[in-house]
Amino acid sequence: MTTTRYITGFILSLLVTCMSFGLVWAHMAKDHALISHSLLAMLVLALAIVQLAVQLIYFLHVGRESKTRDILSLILAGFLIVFIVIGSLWIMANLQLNHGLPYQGDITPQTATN
Amino acid sequence: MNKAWQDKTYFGFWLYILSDCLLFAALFASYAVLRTATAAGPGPEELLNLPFVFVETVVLLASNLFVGLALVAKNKKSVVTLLLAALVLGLVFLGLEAREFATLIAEGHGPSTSAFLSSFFGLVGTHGLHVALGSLWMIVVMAHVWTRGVHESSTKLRLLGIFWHFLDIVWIFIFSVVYLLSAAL
Repeated sequence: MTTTRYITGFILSLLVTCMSFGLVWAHMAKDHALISHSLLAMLVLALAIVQLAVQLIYFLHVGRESKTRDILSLILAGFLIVFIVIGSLWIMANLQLNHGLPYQGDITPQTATN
Repeated sequence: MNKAWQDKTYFGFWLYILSDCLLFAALFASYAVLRTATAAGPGPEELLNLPFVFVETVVLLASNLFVGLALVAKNKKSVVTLLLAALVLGLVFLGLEAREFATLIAEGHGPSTSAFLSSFFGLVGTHGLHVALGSLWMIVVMAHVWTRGVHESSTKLRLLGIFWHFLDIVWIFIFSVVYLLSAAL
């Protein structure tokens, strides 16, 4: 029974990998004009998350029988990962934006008045 | 080892895995930020070979399956055989990755060329290091199963399984983000 579970998981993960690879390959074969870039990014990321779910359920057996502490720590790690990645991208994009803009304030050195 | 002890061991290892995830999250974040910082050199779309990496992915997925099957195998001989298959596939994966790295460095695209390549080698290399150490661990567990039997090694087998599945998950994200999306966007 568990053997079939592992094999099912393997076939599903192979399927998802082929789908995202095929999607990107088709997109590049059509000179990057198959679908919009943001849609492609979203689809590939969505497929990666499906793959993550397949791996968690079929290989790591995360599910109803898991201990609460295992699930809670997993959720906490998920939040931290999202904060680290999205937060870094956000802050760095902001810094880059500020670099490109002309300085808005007064840039002449101020001499002390008193 | 009694049940309570086993539960503690699994939980401790689970926490280690989750903190390792945070290490990879930081490496992913730096890759995402530095992806365009190519120092006027070639970017990911010119340097990365997608079909080659697709083969690497399939090899790692198959290795993952064999580790899973080894966890549910009943007798010593089949456990060791399945682990051996997983180990061979893991080493093939490492060989392919080493070839990719060697080609890049030989063509003058080493990690010191640009911030993009530093973060690329940092992220993919850290994963490769994990696979290399995991392979070493797998050899040790195989020896343990062979000398002590399956029942005595059940905790070690399960921890090794968690580690290997975790590496597979990290690789899926490297494949999707570092290879597929970098090449396509």
